[in-house]
Amino acid sequence: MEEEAAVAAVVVVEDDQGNIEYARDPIWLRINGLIFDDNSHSLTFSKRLARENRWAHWYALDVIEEYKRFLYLMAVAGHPVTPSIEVDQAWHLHLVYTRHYWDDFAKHMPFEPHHGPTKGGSKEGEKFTDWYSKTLDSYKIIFGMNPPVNIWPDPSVRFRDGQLWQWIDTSQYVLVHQSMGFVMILIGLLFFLALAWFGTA
Amino acid sequence: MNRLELTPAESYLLLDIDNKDGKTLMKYSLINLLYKNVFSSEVREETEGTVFKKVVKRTYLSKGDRFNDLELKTHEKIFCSAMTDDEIELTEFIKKIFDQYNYDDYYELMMKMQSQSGLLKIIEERVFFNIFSKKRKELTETGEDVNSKIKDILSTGKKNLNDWVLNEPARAKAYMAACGVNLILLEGHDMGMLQSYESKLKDIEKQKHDDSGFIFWGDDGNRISDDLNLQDAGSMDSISNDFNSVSAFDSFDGLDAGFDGASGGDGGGGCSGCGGCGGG
Repeated sequence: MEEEAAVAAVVVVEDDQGNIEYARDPIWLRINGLIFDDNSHSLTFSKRLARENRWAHWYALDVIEEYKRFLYLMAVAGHPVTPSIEVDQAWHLHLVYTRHYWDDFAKHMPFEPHHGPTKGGSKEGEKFTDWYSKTLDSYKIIFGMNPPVNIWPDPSVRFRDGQLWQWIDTSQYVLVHQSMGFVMILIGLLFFLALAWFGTA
Repeated sequence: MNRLELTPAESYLLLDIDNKDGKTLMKYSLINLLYKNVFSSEVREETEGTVFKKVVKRTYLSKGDRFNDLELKTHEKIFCSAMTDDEIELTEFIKKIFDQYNYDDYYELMMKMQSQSGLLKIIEERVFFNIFSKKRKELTETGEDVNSKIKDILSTGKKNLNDWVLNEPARAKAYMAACGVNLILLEGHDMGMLQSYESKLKDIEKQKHDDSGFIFWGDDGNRISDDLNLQDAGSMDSISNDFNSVSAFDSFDGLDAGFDGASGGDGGGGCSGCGGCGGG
């Protein structure tokens, strides 16, 4: 993957100053032209992405735009790239649409865009943090702007300690933010103590 | 630093980073988008009710001439992303924003943006037996510098603008052009007053920016232009005369929790979970 990404960098279109002109690059044009939503279906790619992540639909569309940019970085950055959690969700879902991913996208790229999840452990964590930081740097250089912080957060946020992601059927569970959960437990305890106090008084 | 390149919401935030006022931040962002002709607004009188009819004023937003034209900062771009219809009633529009960002989320988003720009630091601390997290924010040296420049500009305007409009119109025009819509932060100057200034200064040749000594404060998204022109930058007139219509934001107090209960996206039928997947 690393070597493939480096090889792909050769095709980048450069201007007189040697800056990458992504807007004219055929790879970008191909990626940017990808159509993710088949509007003849009631549950389109973007709607599914929004639903599975509890996002607003318009936000999911923004994430898809950033995912396209990520795919381009994968092709031209010249180093391994790591997505934000949001972009990774779009990538995961795209991989589920296997025909679209491999036939409409990957087949036309000068590299094989494989997805490599972490093998676990602190070394892997450090590796991906480094790759993510480099991805943000390359984003700034190639697209000439800061990555939008709502989709590409700071590495310290992206890789904050103690993350535990799980896929949950929300019809079976009530989701409460941790802090709110502790507050509710505390209120419940106080209520119970008050009942006990008045019961014995 | 010769240019601040800040939107009114950013300026408002940097004036007091501990003032967690997401509602005003959203309001200022929307005003800036109206000012820049990214959106346009129209206030209409409509009849409501079947038995007891009453006339109500409603504000409608639509895409402005420069909707696809400007590269906006993230906190304003999300408004464009949410503008999926040709026209939408303001209250409905804010509901769409709330599907993703309530006022607190919006404040946090803007804090992260300023952190990314190097204007402030966000330090996360765990408190109370490591259960709760508390974010401490402080301006960096650059942030402090920007903060004091904003205060200087505001204090200069507060002290002199009225006088300049009467006696030194070219200077007044240069000041207003340099500030752009950030002028809404100017204490003692409401929107009506600013609109009347703009109207009075309409035919005045403004001082050249280099001679005026004013720092360019208004933002032009990611575009940088040295030839500032009040008319090009936008106009107070593009903001609805019924300026209070933007107080529709006020009707969203306490709605955060209600919207938190709404499911993300509007996925219709089809497979639930992964039960409907196939291969081959």
